[in-house]
Amino acid sequence: MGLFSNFSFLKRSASEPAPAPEPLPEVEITPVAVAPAAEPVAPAVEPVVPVPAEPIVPTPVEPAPAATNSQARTQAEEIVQSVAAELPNFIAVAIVDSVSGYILAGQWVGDRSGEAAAAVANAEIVRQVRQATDALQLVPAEEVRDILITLRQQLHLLQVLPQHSWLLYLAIRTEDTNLALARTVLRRHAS
Amino acid sequence: MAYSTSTPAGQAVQNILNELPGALAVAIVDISSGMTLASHTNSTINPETAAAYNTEVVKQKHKAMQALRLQDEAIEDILITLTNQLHLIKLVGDGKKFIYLVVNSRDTNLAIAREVLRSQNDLLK
Repeated sequence: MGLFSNFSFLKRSASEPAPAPEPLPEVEITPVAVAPAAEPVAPAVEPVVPVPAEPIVPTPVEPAPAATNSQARTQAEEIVQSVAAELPNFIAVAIVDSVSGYILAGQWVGDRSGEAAAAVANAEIVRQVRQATDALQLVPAEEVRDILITLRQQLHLLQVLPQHSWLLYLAIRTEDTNLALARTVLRRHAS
Repeated sequence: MAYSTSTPAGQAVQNILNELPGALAVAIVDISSGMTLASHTNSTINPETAAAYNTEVVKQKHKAMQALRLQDEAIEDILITLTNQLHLIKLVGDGKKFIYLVVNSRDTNLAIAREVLRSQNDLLK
């Protein structure tokens, strides 16, 4: 354990696997497999030297098996709709499973061909940031709350939703909103 | 103190520390190698370790942007909000380097931290 032990939501998902993220399709689902889910992601001994990130090829993901978690999907859908209503000028709003990179719900304007790959890459960013905070052995332990990426004309926000191990992803043009506003809206869904 | 003020990177670290004396860690990082050009820490944070990991974060975001085929776009900065800390990665020098800054979120807000980093942009071109 150790590595992720400071992430309380992972602990929680270990004890009550009910709202846990949708498992990867290739993983055999057994009750036992859910509990230590954090471990395979994290090497037990994290060397201080950077691990060259595994080449995460952002291959387009197939949609998660629809039957598995329709309740979670409905909930994700509701969050997306609520954010979209509050920030109507968005480019993309999506709920992404932070483990698999699956898009559970999302709305886009315009071309959406790259969205699945981008979702995987964004989930990977969060995973990498967690690895970094672990490697730094911050005292007291720190949890990732959100990650903001400022581009020239866009803001990309990744808000961790600890209650589900989901990410709420928002892309919006900087001319249409400001960071403080976007963050306020997203944070409302994180508690 | 892992910097010399005779280099632009070392000078930038010094300038940032002058303006934010309470900064927990500062580093100027070369993205192609992930290594620090200059760094300083006022905490247990090892700037070399942080630099190496954060370089991967930057690369990963570039992948996400490629997937979205975002043209005419570039990363300006990446902000990571932790429970009590802000970690800020500001790309400089045509995206070949970044400034990495860790502050306590109670002491320094994002706007201040960003402004301080922005003022070092010219020095690191």
